[in-house]
Amino acid sequence: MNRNALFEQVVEQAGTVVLGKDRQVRLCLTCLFARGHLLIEDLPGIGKTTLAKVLSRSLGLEFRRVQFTSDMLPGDILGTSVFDQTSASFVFHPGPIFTQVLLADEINRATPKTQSALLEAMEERQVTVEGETRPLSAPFFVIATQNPLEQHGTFPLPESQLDRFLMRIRLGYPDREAEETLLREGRIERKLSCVDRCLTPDDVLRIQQQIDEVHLSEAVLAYVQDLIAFTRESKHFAVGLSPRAGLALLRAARAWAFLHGREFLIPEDVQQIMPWVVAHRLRSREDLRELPAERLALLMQRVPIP
Amino acid sequence: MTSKFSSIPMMLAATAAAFAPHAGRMPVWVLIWCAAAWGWGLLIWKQKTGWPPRWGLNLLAFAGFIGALASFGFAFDRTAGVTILSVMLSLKPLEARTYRDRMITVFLVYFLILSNLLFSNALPMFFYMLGSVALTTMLLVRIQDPEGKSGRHAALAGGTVLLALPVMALFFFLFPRIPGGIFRLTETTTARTGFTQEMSPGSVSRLVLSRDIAFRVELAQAQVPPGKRYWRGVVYSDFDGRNWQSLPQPPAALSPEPGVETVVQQIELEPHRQRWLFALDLPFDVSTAAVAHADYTFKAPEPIKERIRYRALSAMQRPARTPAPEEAARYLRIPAAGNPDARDLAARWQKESRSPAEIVERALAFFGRQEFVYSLTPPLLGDDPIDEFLFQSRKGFCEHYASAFAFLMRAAGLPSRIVGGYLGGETNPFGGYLIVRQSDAHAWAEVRLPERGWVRIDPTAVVAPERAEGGTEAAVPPEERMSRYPFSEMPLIGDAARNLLLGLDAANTFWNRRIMGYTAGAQRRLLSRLGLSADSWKEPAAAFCAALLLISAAGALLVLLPRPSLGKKPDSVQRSYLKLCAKLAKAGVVRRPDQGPCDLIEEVRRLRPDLALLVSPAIERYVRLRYGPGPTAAERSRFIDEVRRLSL
Repeated sequence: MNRNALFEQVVEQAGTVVLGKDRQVRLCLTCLFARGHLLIEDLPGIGKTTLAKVLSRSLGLEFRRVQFTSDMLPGDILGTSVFDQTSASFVFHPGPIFTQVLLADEINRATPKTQSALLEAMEERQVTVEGETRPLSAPFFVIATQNPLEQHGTFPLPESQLDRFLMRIRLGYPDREAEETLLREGRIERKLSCVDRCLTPDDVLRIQQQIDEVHLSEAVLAYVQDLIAFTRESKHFAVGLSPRAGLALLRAARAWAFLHGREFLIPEDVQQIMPWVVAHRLRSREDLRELPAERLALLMQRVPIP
Repeated sequence: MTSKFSSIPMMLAATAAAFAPHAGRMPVWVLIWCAAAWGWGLLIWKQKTGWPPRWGLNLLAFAGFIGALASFGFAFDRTAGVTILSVMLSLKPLEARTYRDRMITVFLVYFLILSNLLFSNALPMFFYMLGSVALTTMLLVRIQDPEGKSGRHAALAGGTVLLALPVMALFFFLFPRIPGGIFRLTETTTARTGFTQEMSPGSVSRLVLSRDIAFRVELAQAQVPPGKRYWRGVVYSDFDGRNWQSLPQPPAALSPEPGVETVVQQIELEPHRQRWLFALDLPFDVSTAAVAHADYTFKAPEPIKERIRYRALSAMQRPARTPAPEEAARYLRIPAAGNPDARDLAARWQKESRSPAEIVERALAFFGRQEFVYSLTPPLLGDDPIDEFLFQSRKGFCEHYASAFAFLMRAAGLPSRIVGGYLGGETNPFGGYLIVRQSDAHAWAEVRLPERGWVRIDPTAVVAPERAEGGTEAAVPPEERMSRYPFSEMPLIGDAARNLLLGLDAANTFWNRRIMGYTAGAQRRLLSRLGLSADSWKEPAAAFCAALLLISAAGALLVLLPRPSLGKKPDSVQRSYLKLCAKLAKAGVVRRPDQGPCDLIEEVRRLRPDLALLVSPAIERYVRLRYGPGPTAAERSRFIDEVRRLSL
């Protein structure tokens, strides 16, 4: 499989900063180019912010970070109008959401009201404040993080909100070798400043358009439908995948195929991205919790490729 | 093409198939008539010519009707009836413009197929008719669906016929049978070979050239060793110096000596146009209408023109019954003159011997000592045939030996006669029965000794002992064997051909016995075995209806139940890919159902790196074809070809 050279370059650069997480980097890029938003579920200090920073830097995108807290209001994210005495009128001060890459740290600390304000903006790619609708910048990409362990005083995202994230990944600890390099070298900030811009925002938009044109054959479409039907018919899942999940699956698979230098989808594309796209949308029938990744993979192996 | 035309070729094919078995019975002009009508039909189909006018067809139909009747001298029998049907049916496709006409044609074709039963009930005909019915059903389907594909029509018609088979079996076994059968077939074959009233030198050896089956026997073969299988049929008692005659005799009551071992045989005798019934030597009872005679022969009241089955009882030892004096005189009669040398020889034996048994011994020793040759092509004999045979040619077939021996015995004062029948037989391993053919025909002598009664003496056994064990083929000298039995030197081909023929014979015999032999009586026995009373019609009728209902329900379930969907039929590329996967699986790389083609390449690289270069181009081509945009036909056929040539 020949891989898209640009894509490889980005992956390589990110690899120098976020050590040993090639797969997650690829998934992040896929998600971004598929016009999706990403949820990273992991402990603090794993490198979520670094990953977001290195990606936005490599792609030449504007980056902002918001630390969510329970006293945060929607206006803190979207922006507010403030009375300007010199012009004797209200002037809109855009919030941190007016950026290209937004890192929403610990999104589950915010109140549902604030969460939903962000999530609506993510979905619609525009913000309505005080009756005036303002488009967000393009491309627009949210990386939200969530701490799965600390549940005290948090507002976990409901399923309906989880559905709005195209993918959910976990970073996990680096392996021993990567960690050794990390500990030995330290100074992540300096390395981050050495990262080159590989693309411009216009390039990103163009690629996003090209991805829409990746060819979807009857056979792959049938396979995706079989997969969705399986989740709906199988007795292991409380609810099956929604049509939106099906769209997300195809969008992510298209991006994955394109980033791997192909102009058409193959079943393997779907298989590669599927765990990250569907895991947070499915619940086990027995305890209504998420299925472990291995079990999900085993279940999905029951669907033959047509 | 409209529906009016599209069913014409099918209609012609079905008609021709139904007509074909009758072709041999029709006058030649009918064959030409039919061929012409079908040719015309084809021209209409090709739209080279129009439909004939109605009045023209009416005229043709009338002419054909009169012509067919005239061909049979205005005598209406089954052949005339079938001829008229064929003549009319051949015209039918020419007016099949409407749906109604096409449907009438279909049912006429079914009727013509059915009319075969008036002539033949042989096993091959059954299969032919089944095929013909399937073809006609296909026509029926085509009429309903003129634009459909022939393959689908064939499948539907075949399926319909298969579904009908259980109903057919039900009707066959449970529908009340008429004693004697509906179609009383008369055997129309002519010129059967067999024994005749008279035996002259050469008459048996002519029989021996025929491979026709004389009869089939079921018997406990262990009871009768091959060398002892003498099948008795005719006794020739009168000698005129050249020929032996079988003379009419009064009936007699036969019974075995008490305590004698008996053998039961089931014999299925082919028609031979004579009245003899054959049975193992020495028979004393047969289970069919027959007259028994004192010389242990049985005669049917009429010449046997149909295959008959009977049970025969035979004793393995002979009774020491002394014949009445007038009977003895009859078996001593020889012409007053002729064959002087043989008479001298016999007179010398009579003078020198102390007992009749010694005369027999001397005679057998004479045959054993001299250079006698067993041959199917003996030289022609002159005025004193016995002398010439005994002292000059010494070359002959069993009837020469039996005839000469019986003559010598009579000349020496011992009552003797000749028995005509068969010796041996071939075991059919497929059916477990014995086939006795005309080529097993044999003649032997019987001599009456004062203390032992009639004793079987087979002089041929002295000259050619292998005849009794191995049949005629083993007994003839090698130079004759090659021309008569070309396969005897090629055991492989010979065995294969023989086994094939024996298998066919077993199938035919089963058919004749179990299916054609399923008579009203057999039905009665079947019903009582099923626990149904055959005395009233109520119970069998109820069982019949219940079974019919069950079969219909099962058939309906089979047809109407939705089949588990197998998904979309794989197209040619997918089929080839599955073939490729099968080849890989044989090479040790088994594809999981959920494994995509690119993963499969990785798997091949991992498990069989040697094959990776060989198969990956094909799989990559498949990926492009199946998942890529706009695959071309050339690319597709290239992939199919690639897979076909790939050998791992």
